[in-house]
Amino acid sequence: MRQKDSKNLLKLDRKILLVAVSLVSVVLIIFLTSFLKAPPNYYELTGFTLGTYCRIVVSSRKGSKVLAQVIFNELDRIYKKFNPNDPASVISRINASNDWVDIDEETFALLDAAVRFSKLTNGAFDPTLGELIRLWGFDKIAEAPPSRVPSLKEIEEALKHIGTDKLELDFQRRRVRLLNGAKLDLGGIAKGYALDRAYQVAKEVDKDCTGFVEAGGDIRILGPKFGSRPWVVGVRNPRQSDAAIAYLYLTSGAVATSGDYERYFEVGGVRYHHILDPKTGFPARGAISVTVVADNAVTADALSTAGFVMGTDWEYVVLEFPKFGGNVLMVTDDGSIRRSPAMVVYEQSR
Amino acid sequence: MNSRDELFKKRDLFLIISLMVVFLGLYWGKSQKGQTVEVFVGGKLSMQIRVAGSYELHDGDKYLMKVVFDGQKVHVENADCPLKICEKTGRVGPGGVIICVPNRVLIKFRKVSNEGVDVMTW
Repeated sequence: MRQKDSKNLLKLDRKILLVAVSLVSVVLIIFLTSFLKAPPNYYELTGFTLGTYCRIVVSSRKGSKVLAQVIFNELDRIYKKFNPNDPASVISRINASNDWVDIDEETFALLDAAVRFSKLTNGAFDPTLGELIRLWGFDKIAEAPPSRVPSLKEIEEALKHIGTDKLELDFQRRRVRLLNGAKLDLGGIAKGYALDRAYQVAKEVDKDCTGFVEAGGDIRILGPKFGSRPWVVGVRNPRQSDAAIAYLYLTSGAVATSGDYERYFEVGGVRYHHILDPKTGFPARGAISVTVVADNAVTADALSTAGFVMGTDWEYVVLEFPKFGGNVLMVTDDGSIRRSPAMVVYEQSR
Repeated sequence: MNSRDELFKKRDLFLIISLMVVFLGLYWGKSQKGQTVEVFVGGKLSMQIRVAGSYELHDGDKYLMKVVFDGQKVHVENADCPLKICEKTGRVGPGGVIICVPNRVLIKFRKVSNEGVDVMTW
């Protein structure tokens, strides 16, 4: 009887040992595959295009370095195509003509989007500010900063050439015409479009690629960091370049910021910056920085410009812009930070 | 209590103390690791700055600017570009960048870890 008991006990011990070994093996396999899996390597490419510094951080199983170069080439293509200072660009061709100009599908779609954002924001975003930008001297990136405030008469004259009512789009024959000496400048939307194209190109090459593309502070997320974690985006303090006023945690979408500190000059202690109000012809007042988070970079770019122009009406911007697809974080000229209610999602989704 | 019943033997204590010294050393070494500022001209790495000081940046024979590093933050002085945006950017720390579009200069801190801010919007 005793012998039988000891045999049973031995069998039980073996069973327990087998179960324990199996359990440990399963746990080890899960640990090794989940926790010790090597994170993807990110390749970083930096360069100058879109009139600014661009940074591409990407990881792809199909070759991160090649993909980064493909993305950069696409950014550069769009810069050359829509740069109003390049005589060979489609924008220069349209600006130089007084008649209908046949344009390609991409240009037509971008102009159509620009007009839509202009209507959506009651003209705060305006793609026809070319003449006013030239008057203020903010059109030349590489030349000396302007130092003269135009006269009221000059500004009144320039305002006559502004407004989307002077931009006609012919949907039947895919052509555009500028009226009354209006000049296009897509500076408030082309960078966003370039970033969205960067996203499309990247996903065409490798739909599983992750990373982000940055162009002069505007950012398009390609995919979560290491496939699951959010990218941490600091929002620059507009009056202290080495500090952030907020941190956004993004796994997708885009973010863009418009600020009065990028390009400006001062006369008599007054700062004259490059974001012009289409209604007054002067640099917009009320905000010193507007950051917009959106599903795509075109929306973020256009709404950040429009939100800046509408800075004095900050309640409208932070509450109504989410209906247009963009959540806003605005620093008003008294230093207060105003937020759309949903911004908290991006600021706390760590 | 005989030596078999002791919680730690002398050699165990020695091992534990040695490990603690090693870990503390590693932690101290990591926390004391200095920042490295990288300066790119035309997309190519032109200068790496690890020691605080003032450094003149040239592109060939052409003087571009003076890069000043205080050990924590970096800024630009006496740039030869017309807009002076790089100077107006002021002092930047890790995560920030200084850009000079006319001279195609990029100044940034080398990323040392995956923690913290990945990119700034401005």
